[in-house]
Amino acid sequence: MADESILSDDFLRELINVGEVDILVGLPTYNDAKTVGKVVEAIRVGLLKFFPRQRAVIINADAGSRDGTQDIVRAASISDLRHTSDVRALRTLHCISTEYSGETNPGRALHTLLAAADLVRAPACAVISSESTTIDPEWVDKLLAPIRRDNIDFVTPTYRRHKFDGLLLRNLVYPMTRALFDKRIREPFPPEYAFSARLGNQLLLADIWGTEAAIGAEMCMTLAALTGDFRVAQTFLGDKTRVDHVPADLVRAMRQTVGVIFSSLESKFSFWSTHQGSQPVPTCGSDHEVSLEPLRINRKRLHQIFVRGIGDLESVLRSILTPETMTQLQNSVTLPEESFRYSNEMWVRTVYEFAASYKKAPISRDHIVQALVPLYRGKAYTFLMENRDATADEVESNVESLCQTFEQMKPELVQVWNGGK
Amino acid sequence: MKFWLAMGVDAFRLDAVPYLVEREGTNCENLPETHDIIKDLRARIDREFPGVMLLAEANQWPADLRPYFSEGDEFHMAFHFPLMPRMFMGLKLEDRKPITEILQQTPAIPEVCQWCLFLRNHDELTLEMVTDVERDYMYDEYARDKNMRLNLGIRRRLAALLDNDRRRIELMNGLLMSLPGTPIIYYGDEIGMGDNVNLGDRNGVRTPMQWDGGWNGGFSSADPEKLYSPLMLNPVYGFQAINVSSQERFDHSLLSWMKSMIRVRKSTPVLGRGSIEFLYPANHRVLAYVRKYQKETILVVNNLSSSAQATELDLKAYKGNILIEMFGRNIFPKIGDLPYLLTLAPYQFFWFRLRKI
Repeated sequence: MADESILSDDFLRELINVGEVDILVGLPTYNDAKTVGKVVEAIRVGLLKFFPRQRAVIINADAGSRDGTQDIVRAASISDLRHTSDVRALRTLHCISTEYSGETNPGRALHTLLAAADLVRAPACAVISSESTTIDPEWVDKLLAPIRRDNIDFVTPTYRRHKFDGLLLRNLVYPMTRALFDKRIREPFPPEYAFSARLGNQLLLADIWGTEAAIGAEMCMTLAALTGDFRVAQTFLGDKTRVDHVPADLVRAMRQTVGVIFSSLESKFSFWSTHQGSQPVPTCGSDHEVSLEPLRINRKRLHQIFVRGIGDLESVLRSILTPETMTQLQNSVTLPEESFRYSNEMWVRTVYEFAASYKKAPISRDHIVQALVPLYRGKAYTFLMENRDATADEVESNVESLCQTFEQMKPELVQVWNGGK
Repeated sequence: MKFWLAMGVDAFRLDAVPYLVEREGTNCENLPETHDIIKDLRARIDREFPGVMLLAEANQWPADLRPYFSEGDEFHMAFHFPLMPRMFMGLKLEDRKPITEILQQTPAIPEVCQWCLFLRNHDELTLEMVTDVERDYMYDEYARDKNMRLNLGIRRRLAALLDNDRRRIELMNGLLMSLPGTPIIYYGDEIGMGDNVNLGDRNGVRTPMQWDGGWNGGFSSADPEKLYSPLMLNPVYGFQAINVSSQERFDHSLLSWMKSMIRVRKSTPVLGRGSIEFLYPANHRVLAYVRKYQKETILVVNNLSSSAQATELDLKAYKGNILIEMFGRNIFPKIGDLPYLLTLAPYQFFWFRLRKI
């Protein structure tokens, strides 16, 4: 049952007016006035075009925008009289918005949407990022049709990404999730995804809300889907919108992804310790695509942060890493920048030692996650250097090689986890 | 026409009137010559047989029908064809949108004219004045058996279309009698007669009237085998189960209910002559409107949904009025500053008279 205390009276009243639906599309926002109008319009058209007979609602969960985001969302709702291009609405399409304080409520957007979905008994839900300016109305169909038609419980996207986009994903989150949790989900922390009521209700009842794990609620959903009795699929959505992130976003991203993975290892030990290798996931369309247009990235800066991090965090890293790994890292920073490479084996060993340390928690677990950030920059630097002139196939081959390394070295993590060296 | 007028008929229904005059090089529809003839006919009737009414059967969009009223010197009345399928659509969708949209598009007509509203008639439930998407929806929801479909329409009776659900039958009749226009009840629908889709053409909805449970349902004293159209015989809709005589015995029968509805409707001129203003409560399953005529105001609230609904109505403009429910004549709370909360059972509707005392 939904935790009704997180839903304001006004929002609850709007949900009463919406009533039971067949489809819910969630739209988390925070100061997205520049992009949200286009996204809402595409969702609306998608619902009218592909699900004209279904009872649908668009729910915006806003973290307290100050740029008029909510007004734009509400204005985009269909009135009783308006049409949208050549798509005529058979039914009323509700578009409602609720606000919560995002600063102090990590994961609140998804929590709100899950609670709302429970109350309106939506059997199929999708969440779409308000930053996805490459959105196409067909995304609505691609995400929701497998839920509605094929009894899939969780649908994640695949994209055409620039070879240097999604570095954290390619070098850490995807390979680690794949190795530990058995399924080759290309976007384990998806900006848009769809889920069944069954999966949504399980997550709604989970003990993550109000805890630090809630910051990566989307990752929690992925892990719940992968380790539970749920059917998972992927769908190709086309171009991924590139978002220019500020450096501080990386720490948050690490918490949302790696932090959640690490924190789940204990409770899901019986699953990941007994699965070897990884399985492909049914995918509609391409599993991934890589674009190669020129892109300027400051590689030098990445290396500098890596080197500085090894120095500044020496005592922290010593409490996390084995002496052998620590020595190797310290040796690596003495190399000239052009010669430095963070090998796959070294990187995987680093990550698994961090994971094991997270369990023991010699220091604050959040500090452990944060300490991985500069080391990740070293790996990102290596990826950029090795793929500087790579073709799309070569990039994919390199990523696959890293994935294989994560999978092959997994027994080491199991051993360390069980108390071995 | 004069023969029938001399006999005392009250009105003429002009069938397929848009096609009265045809001319080469045109689409033969709604030509000026047709209007000329109607105007002449009307002038002669008014002169020689005042009080006789002309009713147009013109399956057109409301805006295209408007010329048939002209300035009150052509037809007195016209069927509102586009509204009818949308009432059925709104019920199935559990959404007022199709109904409010078509009525918002309906133009004003001269004071001395009126729309004719209907749920069913002797023809198929026509789906000409809807989009392809809407037509497909109606077919899928109301005529899954393709044998029920004919000429871009559905050849079924009201009760059969509504799965013989008394609540839905009452709601649809409630809409028929409270939306602006003169209601037309197709013979047999007042007792909930069924249809026979195994008869050809539209004959399945034209079976003999079921007056009683006896010989030929009281329709004819001829041998049953000689009847032009066979009687309905099945246990659900057959003449022994559904007939006037048995329904006259009980206050709770559909026939008794229909009579009581008509009595209440006739108790006020508002529903027949009044204006309409839609309220748009946030709950789209609720269709609510205010009818006004001279000093009288009636609030109509309909739950189009199969489940109970709560709705809040913005009635600030009528603050201070007491609501009096028109069937039981019980008093409901006075309208204040806050939205007026109503809860409705599945398919329930209210007619409230507003009174300021």
